[in-house]
Amino acid sequence: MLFNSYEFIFIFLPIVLSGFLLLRYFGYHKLIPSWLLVSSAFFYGDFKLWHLPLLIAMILINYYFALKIERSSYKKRYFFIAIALDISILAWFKYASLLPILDSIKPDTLPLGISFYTFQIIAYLADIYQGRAKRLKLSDFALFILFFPQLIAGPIVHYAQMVPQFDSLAKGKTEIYFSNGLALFIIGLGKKVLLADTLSPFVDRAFGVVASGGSLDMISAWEGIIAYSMQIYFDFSAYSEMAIGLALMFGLRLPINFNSPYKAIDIRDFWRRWHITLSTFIRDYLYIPLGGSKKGDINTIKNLIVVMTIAGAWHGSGWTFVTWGFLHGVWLGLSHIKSKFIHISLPKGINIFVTFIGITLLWVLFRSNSLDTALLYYKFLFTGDITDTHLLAKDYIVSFVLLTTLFIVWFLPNAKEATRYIQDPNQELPQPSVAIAILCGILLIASLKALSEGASHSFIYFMF
Amino acid sequence: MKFFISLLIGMVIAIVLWVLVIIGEIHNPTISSQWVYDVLSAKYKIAKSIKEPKIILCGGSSVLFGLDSKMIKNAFDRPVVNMGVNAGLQTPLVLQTCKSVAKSGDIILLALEYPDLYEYNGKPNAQSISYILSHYPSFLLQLTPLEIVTFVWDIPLSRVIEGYQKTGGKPITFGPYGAHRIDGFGDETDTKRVPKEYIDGIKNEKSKVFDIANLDSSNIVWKKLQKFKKWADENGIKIVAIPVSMLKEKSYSHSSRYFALLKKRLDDIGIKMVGNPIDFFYSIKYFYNTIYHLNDKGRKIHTKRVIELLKNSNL
Repeated sequence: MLFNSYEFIFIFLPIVLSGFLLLRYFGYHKLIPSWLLVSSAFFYGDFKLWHLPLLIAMILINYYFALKIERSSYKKRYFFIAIALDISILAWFKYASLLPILDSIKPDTLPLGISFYTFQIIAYLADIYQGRAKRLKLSDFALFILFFPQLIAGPIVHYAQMVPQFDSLAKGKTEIYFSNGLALFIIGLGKKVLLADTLSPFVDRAFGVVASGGSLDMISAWEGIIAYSMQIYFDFSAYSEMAIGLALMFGLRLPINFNSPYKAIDIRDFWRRWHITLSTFIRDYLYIPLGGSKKGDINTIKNLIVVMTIAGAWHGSGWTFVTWGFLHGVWLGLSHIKSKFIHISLPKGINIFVTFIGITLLWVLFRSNSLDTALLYYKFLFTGDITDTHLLAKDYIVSFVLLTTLFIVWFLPNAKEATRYIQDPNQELPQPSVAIAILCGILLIASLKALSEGASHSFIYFMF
Repeated sequence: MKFFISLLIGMVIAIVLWVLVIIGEIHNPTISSQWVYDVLSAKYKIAKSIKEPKIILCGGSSVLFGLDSKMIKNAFDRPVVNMGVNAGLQTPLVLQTCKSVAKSGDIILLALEYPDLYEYNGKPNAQSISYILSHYPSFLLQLTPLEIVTFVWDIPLSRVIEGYQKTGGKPITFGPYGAHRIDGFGDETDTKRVPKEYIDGIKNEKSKVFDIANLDSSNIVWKKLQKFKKWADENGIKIVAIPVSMLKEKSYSHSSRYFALLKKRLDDIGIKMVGNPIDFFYSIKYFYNTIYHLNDKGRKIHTKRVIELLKNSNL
């Protein structure tokens, strides 16, 4: 059941919300986590039932290890066993296909959300190990991992960002939370259904031509990759905003995952704005333990390349992802050198444009199904013919949507700014403005209309 | 509360905008509806030219391809007009097409394709939307409020854009379907030779599913047919339902309960169906390019059997 489906919007969500509000209204506060747990398990099991036992097993095993890490005198041993086990399970599902020897026993499909919930579990174990988190009740730990809004594609949440808020499930200003949550959910829905999904078939077409050995003219190749750059942003950020919006409806504030990444002025700024919760995880649990930037420039560059290559591999087992991560690491390293030794400042607009083009060019690797396809695509980008019969020549809807997305990413406030969302639960949450509410009303009808015209499309990050 | 009121205002604005956008392109001709318009215009012309009581062959494409009007005319000594059209038009439009040419004393032979036309649920398809918007918007006034809302909601954005582009307007005079393919009765012509790819296409068509659950008496289609029957009675027009020519498939032999119920539903609203639908499923050698479209040979065989059936029923 996808967030962007009628069954989620008109059946699942109203039922879960009604149950939640009724439990609150009648004072059965202790039952709220159980209700959300059952609902989340149903939500997850609805995708593929057999993925659910694995997730439950992961929760139980890691809960056991969390207890051991906290209580035992062999903290370190238990911690590393748990981490090794979690990484092994993740690696088995993601990378077993790389070893031909495992052909007969390798898993057919990747359990949904495993990359995300494994990282969230690891972050919790690390927090327990370092004394930053308290031991939880099993039900709270299960809810922390299983909570349906962020279970499948993040945001990757830390203990401190979520668990202390569990008390507010039973209190808090329902109307403000609900209106903010609804606004974010609708903006996410619109981004996904009206923008990302409209670009998707066009991107498939452009990359499909190259993957099948055909040729693209230069303009079509650029149209295809810019469209993908927009598609992946509007797809993934839409999911994150819908997740944050849904969590808000239940009184929980999740961290933001995107902060206008295409307004970044350099690659370091980009990674502070793109998939923020993954970047934070990698910084806290990989980059800093490796030494971060404290052991000289050479080590800093090496660490950046290593962690970004791992981040690339986290996305999938293909060499395209590894190369994508590696090149981001190299770029970050070069940016580190530039910041230290070259002090030329260009106008902000040029920096933003150059960064966007660089990021977009690297998306070729991310989108291609093989390195060969990616290289061929690069060839068309730079040496293809120039014709007036390019792919977008008569595709008015996609052309309009593509221009709209470019306008949005560069000239409009992002969803967080538009709704005035504040992720710190200790700060008062303001109501969205009347203009945003009206815009959300228009977006909701347009999105539901678009959904009625075709099947709901899965989110790109569901495959990771 | 301010948020929710504003949200509601936004929703109303979106709906009003959508309706205005649709209204702005109403009556604009589109290529997707042009040939349907051409065929129906030709058929209306044929029907109008007949002054005496006539037989109206009413249905979708199985009627167009499957009945030989000349044979029926000779058998019953009455003029015949074939109002069948192969455009996927849905039950309300098919009925309206026949209604608009029928006069007192006429006989309507109703051959609605099953399962689709008997399972109409109020949701318009792309063909009906396109035709109604371009050529027959007043038809919307004959629908229930719920059907109108569903219709407006279901209009695809791509169709609205096509409307603004005014892609139609000129009669279509080539291709497999259109006014250039029908004769003076409204029957399809030139179906003697069947290209191999047409047969391959039929083989690849999905089998139909006859599920009695889809024949619930509360379905909107029965209300439409009931209204149609009432109108016919009030205007001295006789309606007889006849079996539809359709490709025979093994699985259909288990559909007798479906067709018994279908006949009962028709009976309940006063429309008699002659014959048993299962007896009118034919081998692929009698078909032209879909599971409903008979070729020349098939049409003659099917028409002969329908005539016998009607004569035995004292038409």
